[in-house]
Amino acid sequence: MFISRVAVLMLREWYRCKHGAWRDMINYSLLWPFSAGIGFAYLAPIGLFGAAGPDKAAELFLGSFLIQAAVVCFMQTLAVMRERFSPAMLEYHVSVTSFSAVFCARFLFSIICAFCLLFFYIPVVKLLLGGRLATPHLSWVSYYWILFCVVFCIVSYMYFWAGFIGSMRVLGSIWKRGTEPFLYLGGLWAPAYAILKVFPSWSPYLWLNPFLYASEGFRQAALGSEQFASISTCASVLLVAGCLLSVAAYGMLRRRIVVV
Amino acid sequence: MNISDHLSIGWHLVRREAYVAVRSLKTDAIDVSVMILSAVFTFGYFMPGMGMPSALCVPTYLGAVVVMALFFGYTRGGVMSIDLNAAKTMHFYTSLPVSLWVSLGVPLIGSMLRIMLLTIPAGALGVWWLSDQSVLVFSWWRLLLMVVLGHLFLALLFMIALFRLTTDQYYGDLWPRLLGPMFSFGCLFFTWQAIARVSSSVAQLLLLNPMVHLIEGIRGAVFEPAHSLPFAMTSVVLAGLSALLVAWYAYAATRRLELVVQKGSS
Repeated sequence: MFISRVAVLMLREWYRCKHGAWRDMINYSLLWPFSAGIGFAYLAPIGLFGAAGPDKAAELFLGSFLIQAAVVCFMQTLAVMRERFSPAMLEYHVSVTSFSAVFCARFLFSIICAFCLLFFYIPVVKLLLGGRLATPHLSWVSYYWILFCVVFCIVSYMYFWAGFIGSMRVLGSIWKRGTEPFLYLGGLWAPAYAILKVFPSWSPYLWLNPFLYASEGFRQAALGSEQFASISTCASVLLVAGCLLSVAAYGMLRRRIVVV
Repeated sequence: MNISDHLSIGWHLVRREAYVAVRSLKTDAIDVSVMILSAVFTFGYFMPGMGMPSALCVPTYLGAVVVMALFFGYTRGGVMSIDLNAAKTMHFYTSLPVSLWVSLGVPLIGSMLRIMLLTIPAGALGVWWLSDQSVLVFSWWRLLLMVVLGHLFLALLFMIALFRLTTDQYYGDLWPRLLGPMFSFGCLFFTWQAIARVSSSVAQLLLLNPMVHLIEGIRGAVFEPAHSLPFAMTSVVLAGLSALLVAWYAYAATRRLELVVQKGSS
């Protein structure tokens, strides 16, 4: 019964967004990788690191993938946030099914959508740049496993905010205050070893940020270097953080939605 | 009504825009402080730890400030796009007995003010913080000209976007299709000269991007002008583009607002 309810609600989610599916695929799986790939894997490394540019290109680009992942997950959650504040949409679905079914359907659908939209990102850039994007130890299995963990963790994080906010007006502040600093400290630009080289005393606090494990995981999957945290560590932390955040999001949303 | 009446009403509407901007100043100040700290630490300390020369700290930080301007402009445009379908402030402005240029100029100036109010302190604070890492040669008149031209260009860009696109298109398509390429190929996190040294043809292609002229113009006003694109070229390109965008803005706005009575321009 529960599974069939979830399936029906997920089908409803698909009907809601299927008209924009092709547009999203073109935007996030083709145009974004094209511009970000050339910008961060070719032009920026030349400009920032000079002769060492090509060696640093993959390191820089894989970190920048974090913001694309965060934006795609945020866009998926935006629909839930809108529905929370639109007149009684979520309440209606809860009243004809159950809160857990509504939450599970939307949560699973967001994860599947975000994963599909990000699936082709690195392959497209790799096809575009070929050998210019040096990924000597790229393991696709590790990469997609980390991508799944990252999507799960970030979607949970965004759902947590969806339950936390009091109005849509604060969306911009959530991104600027609640997401961007974690991304910057989470290896979006510089990996952990570079941050700790400058601020070694930050080590105990820096590793508390789950976003850091996301960027480290991408870099490890593609570059296979001892400078980055291992795949198993990154995946474990991301899964644990994702579970904790999704439980918190469930509780917050349940409290916010008026269920008779 | 004579021209002084138009200007007087326009001035009061600009004051109203400033009043609205000041009301959200506290929230915006917290947001921008967090963004400044993130960018200063990233480009001033973390990136040099990765191997970036420290001379690039301020140039890349300035790029981050332009990204902040893009982000603030994008957010402001989104709010106005929603407003077009709901509160209809723009429709109210155009219904006032003033020239069309006043009706359309006020929200444009309002957008410029809102972005400037956040990016100018962000730029000044960050550059001051990181100033010991680069040799700065300020040319205040160049900086002022470039700040005004840059903000005018960005405000026009977002105003046209919100009139040309539906709210869904604005949030879904604008960043990946227009702002993403402008941001990635805009020399915001590297200098145009560095690319020109490696590939002159790629560097020439990058000149098609107005963002390159914006950031290089600002860098030309803050650093030794010989290290960036000629200031005259960047300012002429931005001024020319802004003039074209003004015409496009007037066209896009009148089409979208579907004015009942065609208003004159004077």
